[in-house]
Amino acid sequence: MASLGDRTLIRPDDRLGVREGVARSLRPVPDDARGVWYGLGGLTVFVALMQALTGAYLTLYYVPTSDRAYSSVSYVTNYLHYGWLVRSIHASGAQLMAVFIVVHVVRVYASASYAHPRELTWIAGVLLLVTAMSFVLTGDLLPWDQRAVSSTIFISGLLGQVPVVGHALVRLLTGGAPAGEPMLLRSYVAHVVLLPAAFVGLFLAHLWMARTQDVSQPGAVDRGNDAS
Amino acid sequence: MADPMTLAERPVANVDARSARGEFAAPVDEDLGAERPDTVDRRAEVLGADDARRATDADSTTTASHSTDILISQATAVLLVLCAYLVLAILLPPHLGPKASATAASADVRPAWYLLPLYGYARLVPPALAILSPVAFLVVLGAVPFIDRAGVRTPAGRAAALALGVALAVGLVLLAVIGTRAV
Repeated sequence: MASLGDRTLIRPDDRLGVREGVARSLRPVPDDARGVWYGLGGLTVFVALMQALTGAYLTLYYVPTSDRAYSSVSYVTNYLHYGWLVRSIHASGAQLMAVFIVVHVVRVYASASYAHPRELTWIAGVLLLVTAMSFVLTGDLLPWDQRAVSSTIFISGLLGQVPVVGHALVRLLTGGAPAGEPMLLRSYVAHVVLLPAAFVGLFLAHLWMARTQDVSQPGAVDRGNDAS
Repeated sequence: MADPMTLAERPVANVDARSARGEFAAPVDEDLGAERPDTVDRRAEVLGADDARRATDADSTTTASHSTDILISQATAVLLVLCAYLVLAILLPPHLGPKASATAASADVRPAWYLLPLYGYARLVPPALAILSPVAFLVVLGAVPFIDRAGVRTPAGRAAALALGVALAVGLVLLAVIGTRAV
């Protein structure tokens, strides 16, 4: 008897290659790549998940307007049950992610794991690094305290000095008024919508390529004619 | 088909090497279970029954034992990260300064410690360069696989690249120190 999928012509595996993807993901990792240095990408993912969870919780209370942003952060920090802990974990996660990403990049660079056929995996990783840095820069403004605003004015001043595109960039990021309401809203939208979407897309591409191409073999010589 | 008597005399390591090169690669859905009878049969066509069974047993044993090791090491790593979270959250909670005000004096704009090298650099060079050169650095970083085409992965074979990396790390630390002292 034909299965429901056959009868309704809905066979997700034919279209999405789910079985193949799962099979690739479950392939055993080579002995050479079982050390702690090869687990830093996974730990970065774990921290990213923690950031998503704590960030989602913080968005329940954060108000992205210039007159209420500060008081909403203050409420989370001082009055909400365990709010201080959630906010602290979110801030600590940024530090841990910075450490794991940097050490991961150093490991990949030191072992030349970016060599053929993993060039695109490396580029996706560099774009993930840029995205992570953008998370920090946009998140820094959200508490709307004096340090955050002064810092934003400082960065806007630097951007404005870039030849040709500087003023346009400042206008795009600030809405024409450095440290004003438009900039707060734009930073907020970037921090909770645009950058997470970019991060997830880049991460999935990075992971897919890493698993499809397998872990590089330390000490190997790759001259572009093998798929190891 | 290969001669089973000849192949049966070969050592298992040789069989594993051929397996690693994908000579016995089955369709991906069959890779999930190396112990499956149809996989053994396929190997047997090439290797002979005895070697095929020995190679399959070796694959299964390796995977099973290391899966447990990996699970334990990953769980340990996650626990350590959770401990780091707690230590950082309690000892270094995020600061919330006075509310932003248009009339207030500019506050200390030094960023978090992991951005101090960038801040130190921005204090050293003209503003435009403070933005453009980190962007250029990231572009060059992304192009590293196309710059380094040698494909050598041993440390001894890429001393210049490693020396460049160490010099860069030292430079970033120095810039971080400058960033710490700058106001």
